[in-house]
Amino acid sequence: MVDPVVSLHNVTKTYIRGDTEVSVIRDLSFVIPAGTFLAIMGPSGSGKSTLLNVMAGIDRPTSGSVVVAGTRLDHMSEGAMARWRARHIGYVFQTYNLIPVLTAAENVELPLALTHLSRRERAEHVKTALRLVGLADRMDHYPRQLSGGQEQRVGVARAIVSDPTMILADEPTGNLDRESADDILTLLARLNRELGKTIVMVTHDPRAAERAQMIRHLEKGLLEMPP
Amino acid sequence: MLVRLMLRNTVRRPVRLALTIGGLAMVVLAFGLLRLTLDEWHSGAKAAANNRLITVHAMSDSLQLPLAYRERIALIPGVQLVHYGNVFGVEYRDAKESFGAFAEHMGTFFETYPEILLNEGDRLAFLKDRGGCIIGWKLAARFGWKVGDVIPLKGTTHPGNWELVVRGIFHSSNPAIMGEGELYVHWQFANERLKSTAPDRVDQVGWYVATTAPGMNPRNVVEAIDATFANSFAETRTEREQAYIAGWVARSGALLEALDWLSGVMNGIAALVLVNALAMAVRERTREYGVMKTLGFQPRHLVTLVLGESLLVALGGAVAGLGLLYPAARLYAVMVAGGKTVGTYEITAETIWLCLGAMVLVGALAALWPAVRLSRMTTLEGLRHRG
Amino acid sequence: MLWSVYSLRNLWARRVTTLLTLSGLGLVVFVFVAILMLAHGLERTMGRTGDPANAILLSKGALSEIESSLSRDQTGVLAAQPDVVTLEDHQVAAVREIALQLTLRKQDRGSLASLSVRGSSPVAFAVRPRVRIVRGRAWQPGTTEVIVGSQVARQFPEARLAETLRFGRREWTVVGIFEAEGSGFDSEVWGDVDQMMTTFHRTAFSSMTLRLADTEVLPAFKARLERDPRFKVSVKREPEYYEGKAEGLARLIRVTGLFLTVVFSVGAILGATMTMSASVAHRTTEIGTLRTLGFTRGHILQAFMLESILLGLAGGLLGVAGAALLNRVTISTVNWDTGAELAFGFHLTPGMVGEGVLFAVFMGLIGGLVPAARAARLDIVQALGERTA
Repeated sequence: MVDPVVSLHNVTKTYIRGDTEVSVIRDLSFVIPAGTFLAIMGPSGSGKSTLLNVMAGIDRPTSGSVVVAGTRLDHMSEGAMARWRARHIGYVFQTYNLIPVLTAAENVELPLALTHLSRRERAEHVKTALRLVGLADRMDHYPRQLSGGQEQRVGVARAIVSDPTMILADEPTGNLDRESADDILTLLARLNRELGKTIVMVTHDPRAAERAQMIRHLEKGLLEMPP
Repeated sequence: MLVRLMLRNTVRRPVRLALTIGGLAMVVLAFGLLRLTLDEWHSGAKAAANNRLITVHAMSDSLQLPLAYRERIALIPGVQLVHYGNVFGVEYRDAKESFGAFAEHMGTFFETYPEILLNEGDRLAFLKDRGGCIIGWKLAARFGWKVGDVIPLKGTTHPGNWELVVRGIFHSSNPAIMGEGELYVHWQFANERLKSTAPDRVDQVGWYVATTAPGMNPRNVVEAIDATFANSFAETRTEREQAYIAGWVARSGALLEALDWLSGVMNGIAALVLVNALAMAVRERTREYGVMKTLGFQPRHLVTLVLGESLLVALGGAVAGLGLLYPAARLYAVMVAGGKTVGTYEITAETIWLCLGAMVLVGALAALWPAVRLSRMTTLEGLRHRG
Repeated sequence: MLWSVYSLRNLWARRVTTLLTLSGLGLVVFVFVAILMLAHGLERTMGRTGDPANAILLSKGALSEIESSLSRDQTGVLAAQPDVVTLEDHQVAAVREIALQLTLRKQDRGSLASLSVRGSSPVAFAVRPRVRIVRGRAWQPGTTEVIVGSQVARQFPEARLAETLRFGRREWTVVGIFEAEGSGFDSEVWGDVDQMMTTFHRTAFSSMTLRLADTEVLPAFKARLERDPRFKVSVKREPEYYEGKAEGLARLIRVTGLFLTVVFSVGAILGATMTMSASVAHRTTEIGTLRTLGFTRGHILQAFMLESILLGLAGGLLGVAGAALLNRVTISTVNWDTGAELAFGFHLTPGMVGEGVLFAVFMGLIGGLVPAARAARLDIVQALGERTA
């Protein structure tokens, strides 16, 4: 069997709020095989965003081990983590989070600035990514000139441009209308099916979750085990 | 209600408030220092006495007038007292340690210059000792001289070595006119020595100071004096003391203008800093203002808010800057004089009002553009604003 | 490359604030450079006054020509010293002069002005080869003709070519205009020394200027003369004498100017800090996004520092450009050290341009330091503004 992309073991994350300790994730252990399109569902407050952040290396667990793409994350230095993240993670935000002063093409190019590719090579990758999401004709538009759905497509293009090991999406359709949401989900499904991308998507919308391969429910920091 | 909101708004972002006030304070400080410099230059003219006339050689202040003129000036109607003096150039230790010294006719010196505050006993002792001198307290402080000390000096205008006994240390009631860093000797004593060292310059004075009788129009006396010597060996130029000093200041006109101009620039910088801060504040609160409009607040209320905040901050900066001005003025005075004088620039009430006034103006102007923008914005735009 | 684009565009995105801040910085740089230009202009004028091969002799103890007094006999003996150049016509390159500050009532406003007058003789041009007559001719010895320096002609309409100056109850016709390479002599009026002495009732000269065979002999020359008890003179190299005359004024300009510049540069720096702080506060989500993409804290710091440096740079260029407009503007004022009227101008050097720009960049850097550090220190999760659930 292929090595799992994500391997969590007894991961706990607690926050201190005032005097109380809040356990957002409690003693979580699971694996995600390569090539999976996983949807993690749960009500707000269930810790699903935190889980995603831990997988991305944006947040550190209070205890437990996190192995993603063959690397042990919980003991890495910040600088090493940043480098690792650039190589292995593509992130899609609920609020798109495009840089307002950069064009669509430049936004997509951003992750490539951390690589050693030449300008021509970068331009090639950007074009490919934008074509993949169907926005090649809006390359030079600024985010404010794009609709929400288009912005998110740029977000997806940015997430895949450096060919990362895994794509993480935090409520990618949360701010979109029905139609645009559908487009994005179709896109993600395609990426998984045709290019074999491992995708972990966090959502509270059942209809969005349906488009994934697998669904897991997270409730109060505990993952419901599959039947 | 509005006032409370205005106050709370002002302190909403304490860091930014501190930065703005800090920036403004610096500018007020610079502005204040400039005004002090300008005031100092103009102070002489302003403080001049009304009834003293200065008579010098018409061609050049550095040329001398004959002593014989004295009697003729005394005869002019309206002249109550005629005084005269010369520059008494000296070197103490070396050229760098120079200070001003004058040889004045002591029979009329103290009557002509009531600004001199000197202990009566010392004054009499000085009048009795021809070889003595009196010095201003700043000069005494600078070199640590006391009454009774003998000061060895090398004369430049009056050649030779001089040993002068300090007979008194005086203060001045009006330092702008009668400085407190100079030394005075008996004119007769200085003149006597010239007979052997530079006989061609004996019995000559650098200037006459005529005190006019009360009620007399100085202009008539001025014209009378100059007319008396119009065709003589040495023509005279007489002016009221105020005009004489102002004339010298005017000759530095270009520099004064530059300084005046510079203080205007200061205010420009202050305005820029304040407008910047205000614009940011307004932009951040645009949404709130939109909400307030839906609640029924009129544009003029919002404008008042912005204006009030601007003025508050401006005045805050003014107060902070003025507070800094006191220690800064002292430092500044020392630096400008190159360490040669003791003392500080005087911060007058006028300067303070000027600083406050300037800041109020800056505060009002800075609020202009943000207020206009605010009043023109429609309610919908405000609510939609993403900040 | 993307970095500068990013920084520039961000500055442009909030252009009102950017413009206000860089205007403030620019104003400070403008004043800074203007002060430097003025002080330098003064020193340049004074420094060029006088020739290094010349020695100026004053009576012992006199601090300036105005106080100095040399008799005819004295000057006769002094001129006969070895080391003094002999000219083609067998004349000795020595000029005896009197210097005076004339008080003139200006025609236009009736206000008083000081005019530096020098009674001299034709050999002065041999002693000072850098002074040249550019219009008209030299004065005729024995007459009341005068020539005026280019600055005098500019400042006094009554002192232009063919005009007449009136003082000492005599009329002095301007027959020539001379230029002295932007030195203090440009603010002077030269005429016949004997005529001047009669008019001013002087019997002694103020100074004597000698041209020496070469510049190296001066120290020995000076030592010899100053020790000789027969003469009571002080000897100085001509340029050094004139430079010393403006020391007080130059210092005043520098001290006042720089003191003030430092004070209100603090204001401009605080303005920059404010602007950058707001920029950071506005872009926390952006910072979080960049960090998520894999950019490090160092990258964030660099980006914001670059922005504030660019801000400073732009302000600096603006300020320098403004100051450059002042170049060659002359002002005329009274030099308190001597009482002489002196015209000098703003003089810009490439060094000042560099200093001005560096100063502005420095201001931007200092101003942007704290906000950039804060931006770099943001925690990713907080920056993204995610709920902690």
